[in-house]
Amino acid sequence: MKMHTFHPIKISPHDKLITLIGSNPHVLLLLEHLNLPLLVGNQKIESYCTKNNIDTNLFITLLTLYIGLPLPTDISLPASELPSIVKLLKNSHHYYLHEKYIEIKNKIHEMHLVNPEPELSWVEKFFEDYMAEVREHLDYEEHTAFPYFLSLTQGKMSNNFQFSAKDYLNHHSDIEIKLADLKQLLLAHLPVAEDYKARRQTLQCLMELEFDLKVHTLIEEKILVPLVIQLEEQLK
Amino acid sequence: MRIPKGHNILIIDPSEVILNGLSTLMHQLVVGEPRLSTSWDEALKIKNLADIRLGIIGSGLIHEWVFRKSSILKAFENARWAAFIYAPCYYEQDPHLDGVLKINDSSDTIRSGLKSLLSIDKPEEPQQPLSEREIEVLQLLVQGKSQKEIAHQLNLSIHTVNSHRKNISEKTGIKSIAGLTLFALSQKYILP
Ligand SMILES: [Fe+2]
Ligand SMILES: [Fe+2]
Repeated sequence: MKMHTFHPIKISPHDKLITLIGSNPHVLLLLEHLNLPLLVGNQKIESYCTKNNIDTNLFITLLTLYIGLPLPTDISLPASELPSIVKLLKNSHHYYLHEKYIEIKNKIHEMHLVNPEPELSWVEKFFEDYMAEVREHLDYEEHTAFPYFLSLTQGKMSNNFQFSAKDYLNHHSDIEIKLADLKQLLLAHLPVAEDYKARRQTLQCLMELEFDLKVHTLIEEKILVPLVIQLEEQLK
Repeated sequence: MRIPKGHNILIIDPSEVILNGLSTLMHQLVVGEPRLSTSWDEALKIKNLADIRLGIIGSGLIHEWVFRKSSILKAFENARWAAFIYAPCYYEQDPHLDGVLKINDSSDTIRSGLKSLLSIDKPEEPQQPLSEREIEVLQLLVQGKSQKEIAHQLNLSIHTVNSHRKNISEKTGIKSIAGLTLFALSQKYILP
């Protein structure tokens, strides 16, 4: 006997953007990553998309991720959306390297200034090493993977680069694990002195980075990679 | 395994439709009636708050739970908390939530989620110290030794080394070698 069927909640093209932002401030970051206007006024999603030349389906899929709902299982986006997705990803790379990295680095340093325990200077090093690894991954994407993906949309398939989805996913999980470890160290193991405020701010920044990275990775793994595989199949 | 009792469970949301839906699912898993409430003020007047072992909070009252958390957690001292999300919500990652159920999930998924929430009592987690053997393995691990090398050096099987490694990560909550290195330094298991 089937007791209950729940109907999934979906964002509708008729929802107002301002209402969504009100309960989900992360949406602001999405607009920024997409270079879309911040003054959303009273517009419904559909007319906002039309006015700003972005595919409504793609936008709703991204909104769904940014408000923390699971990715719909039935997404199907045309390969023509690939360049917009790549642009969004590149903008978020910029946000990691030029905004979050500096913010977190400064916060960790502040923490160390008020807490002289030697452990705190190792945190600085840990974070530097971590970011070096992130930077390497982002570089690989921007200089190797993304150009290859874009060339596929132009019907070209280069022979000298073999994209491996598996390696790609491994990079991602490494990045996620280290960030989680840093949070764990700050909340469970490293001695606290007068650094309550700086540590809170560090953790808040880390969690903002973590949230955006998580969504970023989902976009790459669940939206971008399937599109790439589909294009590769077509070109074979 | 003992069957959980309804009166140890609180379901709270302003919507009666949500309350009824969840309590119907709950009926298949527990004996007796779960307690239902449409507001926190009402819930806090329940007798024997300490009897509540599991609280399921609907989207409609999760904000208030977050803002009144310190007093609510104190009042329901033995409760684990799970959220039932049916509207966009900013608080799913809250560290005091032991589970998140979503309206998009199939009722099977929700049922098994409830089941696992019911089967575990509120865990007490004193930080468990590492055993001497685990410390030895950790020291070698953060020096960059492979599991095979460690097994050889300590005269253990690779399998044993691997299970030490797992326990170390479980006890410390840290998975990466870089993270474990910082941990080992902070515990003075290794020198900088
Ligand atoms: Fe990326
Ligand atoms: Fe990536």
